[in-house]
Amino acid sequence: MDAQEDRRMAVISRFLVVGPVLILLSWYLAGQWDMAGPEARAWLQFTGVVGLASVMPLPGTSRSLSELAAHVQWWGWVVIVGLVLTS
Amino acid sequence: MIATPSAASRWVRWLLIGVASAMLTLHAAAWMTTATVLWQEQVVVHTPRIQSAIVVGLALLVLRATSAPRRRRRLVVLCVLVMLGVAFVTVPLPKSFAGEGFMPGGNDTGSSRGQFENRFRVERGDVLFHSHLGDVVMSALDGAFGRSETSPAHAYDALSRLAGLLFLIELGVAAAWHKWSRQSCRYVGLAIATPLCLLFFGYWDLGYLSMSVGVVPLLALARSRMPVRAHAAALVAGGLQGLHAALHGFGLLGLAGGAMAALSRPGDMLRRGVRAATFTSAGVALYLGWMFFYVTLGRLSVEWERQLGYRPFFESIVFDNKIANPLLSQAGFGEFGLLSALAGVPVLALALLSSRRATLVPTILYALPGLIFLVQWWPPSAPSNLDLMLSVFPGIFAACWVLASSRLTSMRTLLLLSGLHMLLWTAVGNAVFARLDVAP
Repeated sequence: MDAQEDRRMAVISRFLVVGPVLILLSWYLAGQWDMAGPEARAWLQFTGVVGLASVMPLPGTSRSLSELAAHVQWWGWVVIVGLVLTS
Repeated sequence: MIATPSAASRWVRWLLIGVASAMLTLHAAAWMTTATVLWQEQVVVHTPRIQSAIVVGLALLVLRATSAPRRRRRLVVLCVLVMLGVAFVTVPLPKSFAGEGFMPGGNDTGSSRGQFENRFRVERGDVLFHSHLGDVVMSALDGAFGRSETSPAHAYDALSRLAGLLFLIELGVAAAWHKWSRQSCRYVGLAIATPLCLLFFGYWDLGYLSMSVGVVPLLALARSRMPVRAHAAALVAGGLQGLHAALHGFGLLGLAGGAMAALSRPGDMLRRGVRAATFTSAGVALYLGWMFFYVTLGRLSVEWERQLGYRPFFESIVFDNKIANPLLSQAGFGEFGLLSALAGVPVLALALLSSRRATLVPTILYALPGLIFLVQWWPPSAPSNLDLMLSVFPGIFAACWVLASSRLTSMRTLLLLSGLHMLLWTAVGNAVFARLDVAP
């Protein structure tokens, strides 16, 4: 039962990480990029740069894979919520 | 033996804390009024642009690196300073945003040779007192670019990048002098995340030259128990602040704040007096010493023609053909709140709420001149003249220094500074509290 729960949690976690990226990708592929106003683009720029700075590996600091995944996941959702608000 | 503060000094401390608390309450009430006005006017919220993303992102890198060993964090801080220097040149600010120009003075003088020569008169033998060294540097840059129709624009661009370089050098020297301590590295991160840093991306004006980022960490060293080290730090801090005041007169706010902060503990009265005198004499020397060279070598005459705008308390007045709303009105109080927030007073409030009592007094003393000046100051070109609006409160650096003492408070401050970036772009993009012109 525990192993099954663990697997489910892992799937959900992966989806949370990959989900926002897939939504962005489909948004881009659907040709919506050109429709986006300057605010949506500025939001992507802002969260892209700051999100990158928050996950980028640095000398002398270490982070486990699960922590990194949690960070990416958090930033992914920040991007999505921001896009919904700014679009 | 540990000296205990006398009853008189305890009274002075509580008086200072009382005055600062009253001032901050006034500022906080004004922020609420600003929020109400922004809500009523249904402003469009603007996301911070790429320059803000760069400074906040790089600041985050520095804050993350401060948990690393000393050599590693020094490497990260130096790399970030170099990257920021490159960004100053390669990612220039737009000259207008959301259809609003936000460099009113610079746009006028930078795009017209006649207006430029009317503002910078060094070639005609005059220098304006309020920014005397800034004027001389601008005229020298204009000469270096050939004194043509386009040279003023190049001169403004070059000046902004040179000021940015000085900003980065001051940060690097201050962190190195503190031996790359965690607090000094976090201070580097917070200082580069301040909205002021945006102006080094090619802002066309001179007001921001008045801000010195290196003074506060050097003044912290001036409180050291080693006398030679303390005097050297006070001397360099005073000299730096004097240099910035010579570049633009708003630096006097930092000079006054620095002199007052130097008077605070530790040390007996004599030691504190000598520290303040060292800071002030070095500051005044580098603020006014240039006059000797202007008169003897440059054959220049010094002119005073700048008038500061002051906000009325009860009735509207007309200043510079514009209506100045009184402080005791929703528009006037809300505008004061916007200026206060953009200048960084919320960072001071956060510092006073989360810092140890021992650090309160020097922080308050350093911030007090700007805090009081903000209440009465009325900038004629607001909300566009960011160079003055972001330079009127040097206390933001004292607050950043105090908040840099722990990782948690540093991260909270970075969040607050990101919010100020959003407020800045929103205020500029919506031209909130724009001035109403009246016929002369």
